[in-house]
Amino acid sequence: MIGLNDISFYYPGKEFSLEIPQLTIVEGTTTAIIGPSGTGKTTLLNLMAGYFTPQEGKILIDDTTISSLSEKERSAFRINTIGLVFQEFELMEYLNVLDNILLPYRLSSSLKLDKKVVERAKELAKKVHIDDKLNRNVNKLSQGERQRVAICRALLPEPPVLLCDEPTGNLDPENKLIVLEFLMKEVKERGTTLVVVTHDHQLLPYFENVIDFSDFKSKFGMQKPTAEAN
Amino acid sequence: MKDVFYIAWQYLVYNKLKTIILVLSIALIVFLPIGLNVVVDQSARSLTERAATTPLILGAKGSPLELVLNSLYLESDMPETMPYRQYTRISAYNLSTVIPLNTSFKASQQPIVGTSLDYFEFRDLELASGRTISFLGECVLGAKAAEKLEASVGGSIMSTPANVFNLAGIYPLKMSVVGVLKPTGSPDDEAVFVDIKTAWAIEGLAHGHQDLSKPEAASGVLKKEGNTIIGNASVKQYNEITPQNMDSFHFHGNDQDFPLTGIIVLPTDEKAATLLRGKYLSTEETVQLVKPIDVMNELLSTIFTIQNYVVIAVVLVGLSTLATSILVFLLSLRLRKREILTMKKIGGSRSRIFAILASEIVVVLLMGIVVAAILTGFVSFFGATLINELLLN
Amino acid sequence: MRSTIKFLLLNLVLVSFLSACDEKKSKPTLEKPEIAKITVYTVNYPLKYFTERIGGEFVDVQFPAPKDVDPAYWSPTAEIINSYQKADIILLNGADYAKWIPKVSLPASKMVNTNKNSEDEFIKVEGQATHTHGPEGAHTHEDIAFTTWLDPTLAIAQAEVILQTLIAKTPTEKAFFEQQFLELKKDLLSIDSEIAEIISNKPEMFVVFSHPVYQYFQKRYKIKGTSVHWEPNELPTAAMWHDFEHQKEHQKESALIWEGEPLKETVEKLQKTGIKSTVFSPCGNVPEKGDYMMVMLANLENLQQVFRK
Repeated sequence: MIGLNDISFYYPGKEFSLEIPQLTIVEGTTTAIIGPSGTGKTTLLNLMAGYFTPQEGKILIDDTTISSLSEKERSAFRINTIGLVFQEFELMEYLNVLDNILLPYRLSSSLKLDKKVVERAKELAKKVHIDDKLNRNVNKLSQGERQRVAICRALLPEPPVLLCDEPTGNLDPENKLIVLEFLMKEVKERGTTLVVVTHDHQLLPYFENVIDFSDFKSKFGMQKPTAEAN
Repeated sequence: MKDVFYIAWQYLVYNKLKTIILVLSIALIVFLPIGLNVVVDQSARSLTERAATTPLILGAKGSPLELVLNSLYLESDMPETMPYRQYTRISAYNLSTVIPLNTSFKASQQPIVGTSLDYFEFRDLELASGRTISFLGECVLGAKAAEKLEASVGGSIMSTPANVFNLAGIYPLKMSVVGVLKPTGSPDDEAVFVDIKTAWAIEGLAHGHQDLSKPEAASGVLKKEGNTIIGNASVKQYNEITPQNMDSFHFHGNDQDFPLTGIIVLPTDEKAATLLRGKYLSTEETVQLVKPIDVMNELLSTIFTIQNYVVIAVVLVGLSTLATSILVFLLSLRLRKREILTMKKIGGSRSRIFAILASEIVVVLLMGIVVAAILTGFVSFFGATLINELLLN
Repeated sequence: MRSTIKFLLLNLVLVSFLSACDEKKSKPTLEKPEIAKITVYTVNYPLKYFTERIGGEFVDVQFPAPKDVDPAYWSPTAEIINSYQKADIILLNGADYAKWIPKVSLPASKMVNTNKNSEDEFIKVEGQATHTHGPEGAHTHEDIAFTTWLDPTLAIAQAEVILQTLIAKTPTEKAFFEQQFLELKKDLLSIDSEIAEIISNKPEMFVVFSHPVYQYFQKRYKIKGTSVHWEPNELPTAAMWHDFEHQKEHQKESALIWEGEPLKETVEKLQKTGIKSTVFSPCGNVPEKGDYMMVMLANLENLQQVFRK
């Protein structure tokens, strides 16, 4: 479960601010956040991920108030609990496919990299049909293949929450579909709470919930969004 | 830690060119002052070792350094000479063993060292093949001389005329190779060793020709006056000393006037050395008795002074290179901002990310040091030889 | 005089006998430790003999020239030269004796010129044909007479150099070497005085020497005479006889001294002309029988035959 209460966030020195009185995303559901650029969708995702902390308010992931944790605690919590998928994939160019997938296990001592983990990584890769490219450098992959690697990286630690920022934004229609279907299948199988920021209205039918940021203006504290889980 | 180094290593391998440049820069920063020190130290040791094992050298008055370089390192194109009577004189004191040297000539580029058999015992020279010199006209080659002259036991080599255009000058002498020495790592490896009398034969102080009193040499006789036979210009002179013509070889003039370029003096003890040095102190002497180690130490003190300046310069260059390397690294961090941000967002801890970046530096430094160590090892093996040749040439 | 010769001979025999007995008597029950001998190589037999007399059991003396060659003109092989090179001491006669020495390479530190203190006594002789060639003009090959040991006083001087050399090499045996030297010196002085006495019987005797190798002998005993080039084992040619006649012309009494046993025919012909001849062996090489002293004693006997009053 993801809960945001009385959130007030602004970038210091900048005019933009985001205010969310209350937002709850039910565990195991799929939620899409849509809206025009600059409305704070990515900011919301960063808040949920614990990457940003709000100046006011609380953010809960299950029973943990991540907004109260220290940076170190948030990083450890994030790597175990929240998988992240970025629009630009954000893969390490100097690592091959397998090493990119395994990256979270190398970035934190709270995740232990062993043979079982490697096997799981290979299985994940197989599911997205990139198991024959494990030793290849990621810059030799297509856009779609790169995003699949990113998704595998996010899913490998088996996080209960998966946050995706425009995961299909840079993909062609064919790959868009492949990626989205894989994503949906995995989260359903694992019971993962999925939150996806997207511009693409064509994807909305895939989601159980939709938060429309165009319904309100986040600037200057005007109408505030609400969303409730079914 | 393993994971940290793994990621760091992958990054360095992916960015090969940058890594190599950084490694080499570090290697040079580390190697240059150390390597220079090693080379100079080794050169000094090898130069002084040979000088230290040679107690005294007697030679014509002039530059002590030239005398030492010529007598010990066989380097000098036109060495000064002194008459053989100086050898007789110093022998007569009975205070030392004396070894004559004549290094006036070359065989191609290899110095011909006219000396006595005592030289081989003194320098501990052992034969790899063949035997030692027995007759005039025979030679024993140093290991490198044999290679360069492409000669071996049973073969022969020619001395090089001092002046190609002087047709009335010194003729080349063909010498039989009877032995090749084991390598010693010293200038002796480059030498062609002959008996001192053979060196005088090369100089033209001895020669062999047909017996003018014999009928077969009649064409070489200009006229006979009583017991004296005067030869004409067609008298055939031998350019090689063989068992067949050896008896015809004879010296002309007083052997006490024959030239030496140096005499190695091995005093019986310290007292004898002091006594000998005292005998050659007069300003009217035409010869000088020098202690090679003193001469070389003076040369080396000059080198060490230069070395210090070079080291300072190298250190300054090294510091600027280090500063540049740091700048390169900081700039690359800037370029990797997004990558670092991603790691953070994924949940990588600050300390872990810092460790990865630091590991890259550590690995580069270690590799640089290893390369520096290899280079130092290389120069410690070859450097002394190169520097010696540079210095002595 | 005869009695003196007999005394010397007896002395020699007695010394040999006694030393043999001494050896038997003193043969210990325990093994003597092996003495490290000084290896000495010489260029002629007299030096070998002198060295053995002085050095005794402390030296191992070698003179490898074949018995049938004149050591002055011998040319050793490379192998033999190598043996010389390995010796502890190489004894040279000096006076340009061994013609091969300037043509080979020997370690100077081991070479000892036994005549180094007698160079003022050297006798220069007329060279054979000199020759000139080239711009530097004539070169005279002035020769030096080299059979120095035929003057016993020079032989003693040579022996003294050998003594000093051995003492320098083995200082611990100085007393022994000196004792041995004194005995050798006594023998040589005895030979010297005997020859002088024999020659004094006929001071006006004109002596023709078969080869020019008796210069020091001639000088020492002030013998009037000259040299020819007659080989003992060859008949002189008519020209040689003619030359010989010319040499001894106007001489009251003449004799011919040979270096080796001459042909009977030559001796008879000489006798017919009233010339006595005898052998005085220079003993440059190892004798067929006996040793240096025995050869000198035999020489004394032979001289006696010719210079008898």
